Amino acid sequence: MDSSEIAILVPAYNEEKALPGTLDSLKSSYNPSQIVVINDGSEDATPLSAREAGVRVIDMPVNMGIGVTMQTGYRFALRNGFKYALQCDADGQHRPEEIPLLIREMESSGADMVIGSRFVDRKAAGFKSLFLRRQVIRFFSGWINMLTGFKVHDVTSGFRLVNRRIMELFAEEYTFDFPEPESIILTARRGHKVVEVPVTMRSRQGGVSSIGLFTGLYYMVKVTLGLVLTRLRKKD
Amino acid sequence: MSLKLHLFAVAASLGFIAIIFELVRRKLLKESYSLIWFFVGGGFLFLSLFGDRIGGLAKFAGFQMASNAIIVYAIFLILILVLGLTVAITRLSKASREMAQEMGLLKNMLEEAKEKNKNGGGKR
Repeated sequence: MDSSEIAILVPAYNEEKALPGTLDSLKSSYNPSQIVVINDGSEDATPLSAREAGVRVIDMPVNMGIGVTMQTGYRFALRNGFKYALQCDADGQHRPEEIPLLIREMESSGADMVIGSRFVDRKAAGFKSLFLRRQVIRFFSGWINMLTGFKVHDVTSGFRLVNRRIMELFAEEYTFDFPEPESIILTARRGHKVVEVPVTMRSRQGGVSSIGLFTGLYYMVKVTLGLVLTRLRKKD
Repeated sequence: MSLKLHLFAVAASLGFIAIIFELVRRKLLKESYSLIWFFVGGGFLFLSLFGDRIGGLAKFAGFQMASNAIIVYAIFLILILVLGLTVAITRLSKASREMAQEMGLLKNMLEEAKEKNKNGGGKR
């Protein structure tokens, strides 16, 4: 795989603190023309710092949420002829130097989607998220396994590489509230192959998490139900 | 029902229908959505005119009192209306999502084209 064929999609909402650092480390390995910040209607200097970094910028006219934002990124990558798209969060949790791990895994396993996972290799160091959140992730992981037969450990990881087939799927159909777990089902039920590769993540490097207590409860209910509905939805 | 209540109910129903009519006229309510509201207004009018006589109908459906029947039917109707509205909202949010995405992508294309033009001296 030629790494210049990858679009690095960086969804960002009010990430002025962490974004410059993330973009700097991305630029050390990738051409700015393949780095795409999708600014989800930020109220801070996010779009400004993205433009100063000289990368490509898509501004959502209003705040639409991560799902809509990522789908816009996939559409962009598809229309601009990229063969692969990699999602890398703006907050510095994902390490750009680990992107080659995902690339190698895709090449060797022939998977359509490779997810960078905190939990595959339990002995590995790095940030593993909070206890409660880990339990939620484990629950969804079991739920997805039951519904699809796929065993994915880190279902909420946004660090993922997809090929053009998945880009085409996501450009057409994506889930919009909390898309990471449901998009795995979307992918699996089309018969595409999903694999995980162990990565280490950092805690966020600035800004605040978009998920609080109430949102967390809503997340649980919405995703539990959403996973079933995604499984049942007609494939058109 | 007393005559006073009858008159009041008829007047209120006619007022309701008039409001719907006015909303459509001022284009504050889409004609296709107005149909259901005219239907509701018609129902009000029917009940205020013949409310006394639906006792038999309610008994037939197993209600002890006609007023209970009316309340149950009204709640059911309201729920259907709300469901219809959430379906409409879903459609709208899909439309606005698509538009926001296309807008973002177009703005990016425009910016990049401008940039290219500037760097390329404007002429090929």
